[in-house]
Amino acid sequence: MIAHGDELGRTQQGNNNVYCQDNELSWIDWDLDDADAALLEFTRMLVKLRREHPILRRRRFFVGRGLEKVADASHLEPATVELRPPDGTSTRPSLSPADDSPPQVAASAVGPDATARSSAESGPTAPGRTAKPGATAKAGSPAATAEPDGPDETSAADETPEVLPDIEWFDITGDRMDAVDWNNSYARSVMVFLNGDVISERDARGVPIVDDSFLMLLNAHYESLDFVLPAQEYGTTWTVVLDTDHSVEPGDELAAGDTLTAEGRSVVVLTRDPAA
Amino acid sequence: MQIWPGHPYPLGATFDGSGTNFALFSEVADRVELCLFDDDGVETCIEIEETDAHVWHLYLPTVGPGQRYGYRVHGPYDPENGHRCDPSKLLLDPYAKAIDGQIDGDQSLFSYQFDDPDQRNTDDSSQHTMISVVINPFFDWGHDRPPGHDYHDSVIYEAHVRGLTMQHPDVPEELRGTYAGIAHPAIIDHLSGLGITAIELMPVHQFVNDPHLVEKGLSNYWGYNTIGFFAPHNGYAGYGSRGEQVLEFKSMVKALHEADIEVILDVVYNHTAEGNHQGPTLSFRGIDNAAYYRLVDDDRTHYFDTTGTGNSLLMRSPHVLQLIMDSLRYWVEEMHVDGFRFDLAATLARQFHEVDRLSAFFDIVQQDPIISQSKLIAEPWDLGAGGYQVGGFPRCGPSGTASSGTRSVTSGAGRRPRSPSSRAASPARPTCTSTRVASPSPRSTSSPPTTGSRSPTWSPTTTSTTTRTARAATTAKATTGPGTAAPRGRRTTPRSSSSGTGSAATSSLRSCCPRACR
Repeated sequence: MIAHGDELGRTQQGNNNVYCQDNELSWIDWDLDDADAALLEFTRMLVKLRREHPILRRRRFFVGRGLEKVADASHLEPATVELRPPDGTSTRPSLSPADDSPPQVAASAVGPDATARSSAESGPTAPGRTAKPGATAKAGSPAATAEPDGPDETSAADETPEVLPDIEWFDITGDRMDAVDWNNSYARSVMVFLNGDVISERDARGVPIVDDSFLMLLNAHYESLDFVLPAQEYGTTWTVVLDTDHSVEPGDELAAGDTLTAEGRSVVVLTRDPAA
Repeated sequence: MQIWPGHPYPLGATFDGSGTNFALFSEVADRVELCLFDDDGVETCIEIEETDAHVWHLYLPTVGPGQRYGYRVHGPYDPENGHRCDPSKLLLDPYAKAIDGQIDGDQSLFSYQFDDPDQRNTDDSSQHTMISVVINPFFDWGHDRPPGHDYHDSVIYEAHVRGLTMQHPDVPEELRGTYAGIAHPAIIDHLSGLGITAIELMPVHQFVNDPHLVEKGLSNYWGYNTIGFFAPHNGYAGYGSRGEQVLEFKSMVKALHEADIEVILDVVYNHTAEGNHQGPTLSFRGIDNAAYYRLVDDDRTHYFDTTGTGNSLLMRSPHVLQLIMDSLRYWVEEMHVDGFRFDLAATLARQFHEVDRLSAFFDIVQQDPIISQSKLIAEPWDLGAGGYQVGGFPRCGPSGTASSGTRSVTSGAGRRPRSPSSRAASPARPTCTSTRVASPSPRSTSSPPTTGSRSPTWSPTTTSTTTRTARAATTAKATTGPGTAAPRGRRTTPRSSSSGTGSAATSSLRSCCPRACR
């Protein structure tokens, strides 16, 4: 939502209630100076960015988990269900929501590419996050998940997501936010990862929606802060989409673990392609 | 003048292509007069003899679009029991589709004396108040269709008619601050270039410009002070306020739709501009005070106010609910708007005392095939106890949040059928579209001088001389000068209707109204 004039620098001289001010204080001043014009161009770009990326205009709330834990993720299976033959046998499992078989993970929703995953298993990862052996095998053969999993695997999934969650929050060191971070009274900064690979929505033709992933660096502190990009399982290479303070420019590339200095009171948005 | 019995439905003044049906609800009234005003401001009152289920009605075969009218309702003035009928006040039709003029704060608008609130004031208000106008309902919508953007694709742009257009160099000066100004390519190009999908207009229902603001050289800019729930605010009309504002508004919606932009209205159904017990008598108060307003249970002189404005509409009254739903449907079906943002929506859920999410209003919205499929956004609080309801409003369909600080009440697919009747009506080109006047109408409001005694909500003035700019009333003063008790102009002798006995037994469900016009 945009209040008229916000897109081009209308300030009302700080008056937030102009209910009885039918005058130039309230009316949009269309005589744009360079800063106003730049803000207008920036607003247009934001609206366009939102329009082009379904991850930024989701129909469903985030759940903070990967698809296999999303209650209704079974709808992400291919939408072709063969009719049950008259003899009662079926060539494919039923896809009804009541079905007990575990939800299936679409091939495109596995997370980062194979390189990222293999290195995540062997190489350094974020503290407290250990890639689970076997995750690659499972994710790599989505059709196999049509068969019921054992109870041990289900409980293991409770500890560590097998695929990246749909949303993840980081402190500026690149570590996932824990309870201490969330209750930190002086924190004025955060990073958020929006996973375009596990959007639990379909488009109008029933095709699961897959989008680029985004990483947003939010610095509400008045001074610049160094942000360390998260581990490469979230993405090996990031491309700058926007920086409200121009310390980096659109198109610049950064790698996992890189440090980016975000200016005081600024937002930097990065993106990467969907996982292969 | 011929007077036919007409029909009790639809409420309001309905032009069917040849004549006009008038219908007004009042349970408390003893008598109701329909008062017509000619171009010189001369008033002709007609006694309404037909009543069905508290709806007073008649049909005038020779009256059509542009006719200005009001009501004088005779009944008990008994504030202690919640009744405030006052035939000395010319009353707006609650269903007026267009309203001409603006109030000026004159003493005659009030039913009591400023210097002694216990004393009645029976001065005639007709030269100081707003007047309802019969409109031409026909309009060529062409290929208009609702853009139907999904909620999750929506980028909503909140705008004020004047704020958006008053200083745009490419909008012709005479169209700045008007509906036609928004429809101007300079504005629409800006909106399209921005990429927004909907424009949410701050209040455009006819509102009252508070005299206490005018007195200070200010005015009610935002307009959260509705008096006409069916009428586009005449202060934003560029082509005239005798019905022209309706066509201008429709043209604006059509132009925005052509640019794939939806129109959402910021609507204020929680209270009216009549203020508290010291407010003016403009419409509802004089028609049936206790049926429209929520009064304090054991003190019916006073209004129960959850909105901070002096009054709250009585959400458990079927007639209030009907008024709101008829209004909502009118704006969707006839004016083609795409959705609503409800101001102080918690008040609408106060069927009894608490904010009740299952109150009748939401039940009715949910089952309404037209309104449930429009975009609905709630401002989730009011000033009463328990009024802060962020996240508490029901979601009736696939939904999502709609905007910061607000939440969708209901969401729909966005595609809705237009009523066949409105389509059918389109080809019949109006005769009245050609009556647009070239010059812009005077903006609302005169500025009454003076100082006066103060009341908490209303600051009535004690002036005895006032000026009116919005209404041609020069000659009227000769016949209906202020100060005399209930003065009238030429009065038409009340006539018996031709079918009085027959209709008396008719039930309230009779609805063979002149619907063909819609």
